[in-house]
Amino acid sequence: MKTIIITIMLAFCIPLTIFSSELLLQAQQECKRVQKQIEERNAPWMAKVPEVLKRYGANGVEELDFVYEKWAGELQLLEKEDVNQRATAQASFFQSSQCVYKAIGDIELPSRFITTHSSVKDQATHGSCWAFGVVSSFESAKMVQEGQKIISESFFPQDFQDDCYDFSEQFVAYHNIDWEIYRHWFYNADTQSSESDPIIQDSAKDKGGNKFFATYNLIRYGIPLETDFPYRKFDFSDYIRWNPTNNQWEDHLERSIKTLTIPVDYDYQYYYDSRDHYVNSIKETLVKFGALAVSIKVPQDLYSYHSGVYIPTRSGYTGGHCVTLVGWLDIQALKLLGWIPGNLVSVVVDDPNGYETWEATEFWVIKNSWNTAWGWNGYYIQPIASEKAYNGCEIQNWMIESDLMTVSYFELDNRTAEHFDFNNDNKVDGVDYNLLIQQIGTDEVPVAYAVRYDCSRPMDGKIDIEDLTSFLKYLNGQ
Amino acid sequence: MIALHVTDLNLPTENASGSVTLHFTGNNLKQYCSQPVHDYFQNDTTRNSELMYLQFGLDLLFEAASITSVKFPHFRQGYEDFSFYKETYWGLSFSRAFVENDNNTAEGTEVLVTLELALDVSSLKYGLYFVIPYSGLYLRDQDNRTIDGVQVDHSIIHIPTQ
Repeated sequence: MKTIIITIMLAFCIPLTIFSSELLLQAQQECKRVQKQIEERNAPWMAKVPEVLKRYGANGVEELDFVYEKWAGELQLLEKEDVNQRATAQASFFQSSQCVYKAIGDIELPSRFITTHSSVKDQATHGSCWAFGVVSSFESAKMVQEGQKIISESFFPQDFQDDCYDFSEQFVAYHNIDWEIYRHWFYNADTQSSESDPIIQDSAKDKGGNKFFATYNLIRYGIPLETDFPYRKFDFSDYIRWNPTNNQWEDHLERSIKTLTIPVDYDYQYYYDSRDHYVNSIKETLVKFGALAVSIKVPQDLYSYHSGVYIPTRSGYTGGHCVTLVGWLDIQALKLLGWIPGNLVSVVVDDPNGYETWEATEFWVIKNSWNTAWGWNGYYIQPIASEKAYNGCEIQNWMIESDLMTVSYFELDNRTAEHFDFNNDNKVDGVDYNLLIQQIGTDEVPVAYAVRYDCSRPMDGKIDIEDLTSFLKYLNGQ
Repeated sequence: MIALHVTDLNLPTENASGSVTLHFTGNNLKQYCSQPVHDYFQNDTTRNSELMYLQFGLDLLFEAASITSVKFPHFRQGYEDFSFYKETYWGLSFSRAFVENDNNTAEGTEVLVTLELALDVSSLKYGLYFVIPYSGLYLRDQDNRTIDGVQVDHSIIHIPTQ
């Protein structure tokens, strides 16, 4: 009997060792190429074979391209599902659940800051980065907005981890967008008209997702606990499975109220007055509301990142990826980490995708979903777009500034009558509402008005529908 | 379903202005929003509380029309009405807002807005075009969440005038 067991064990172990070696061999060759490019360009970061690849090898993965495809693949389309098989939504409703956040300067921003967030996860063999990015942001937002914040002088992001909330990426990934129907809507001649409102249908296909849609699902569906709906890392399925492990999972659903967004604005400067206003809006969001789900295109060499300030060493991209922005560091922190010499005052960003070099003095701290055995304990560092980069159209697709950023919002701070009693008659009624209506559409809010009429949660420097609905919510809650 | 209907069309002449009446209806809207759980499919279940705020627009897609009157018929039993409209650079925006009030016992209609427009003769040149645009659309419940699943008819209504 013992002989049989040993034989069976050997039969499994030998192929696993071979697979692991083949995968790591490919990774080592790739890492050598990247290291050479780093040296040639004098880039301020280090490459290393990610330790996490051993886990893939142990689970039978032989090809490095398979891992890269799952980590940040190009969108692949399967056959279109029938329209009636899953729930649908209209794109206009996504937009109505989102509001742009603009910095209002009500807090002092430190030179470096990392927001409280959950620990680094592992998306493993699914193209579910978007679910991990959005859930990570949701977990952080819930902690930060509930006042559960870790205060520390540390600049190691793992020192700001708190796992008091752990929600289900599997559930979010199950409610993916059906890209084929979405594309059909956009490109079909019958529906391509100015008044068409794209229809979005859910799909469980494991073929890349969309954080814009996912944040809407956190509002309309909510999200269960990870313990009720656990993630399946290595099931090698083309579909995300419906696998609740607790029949009462719906009793533990958490839902956000709306989604705060930081839109892409470097070309048009429509939402923000300047680069500083844009960057400060991101920073204020991190401090007040939690980590942001952000998106990038992944250059080939990012897979081999180990530490330092990541700047691509070759032009081009492999695929799209969603990650979580958790904070920022100043240049002093990089010196203390030993990543740059003490005499430097900035890091030169010589981006092969760009046209001009620019200098960075601040750096985003980004949490990835490729396990702690990738990168800088699961994180990486990207330069923050400088004034020159922002105004000179040097925001490239590997930078998080190249796409919309989102964070869930819960409206937890209770508003009282004094926020809505605009005419100071000690009651909140239709007269106050009519005063508010008269201010609607005011974009540049004078200080006196901001104090009185920018009554939404959060205050956002605008008097708009969010202020109206905050008012109505208060009246209905009385 | 939120939809737009055109009634009572009187085309203008060289000597007299014309008029048109538009009705925005929300058939089944109250019933839908009052259901806390929408179990569309086995695994896709959305939730909402009562309808609190509804906003939609009208894109006229032509010039030569001016507002004669805007009416907000009583819509919801048990609620006080806080409705209003605003003119925007692209057309009109209508807001229907509801605050609980048990004293308001009258039964509501399915009509959200009745709009009367005056038409001048230049509107005859290309015809009349009306549409509910998909921007500026808001449907919030009493928790201030977007209510999912309501259909809005964004079809362009074209009335030829020649």
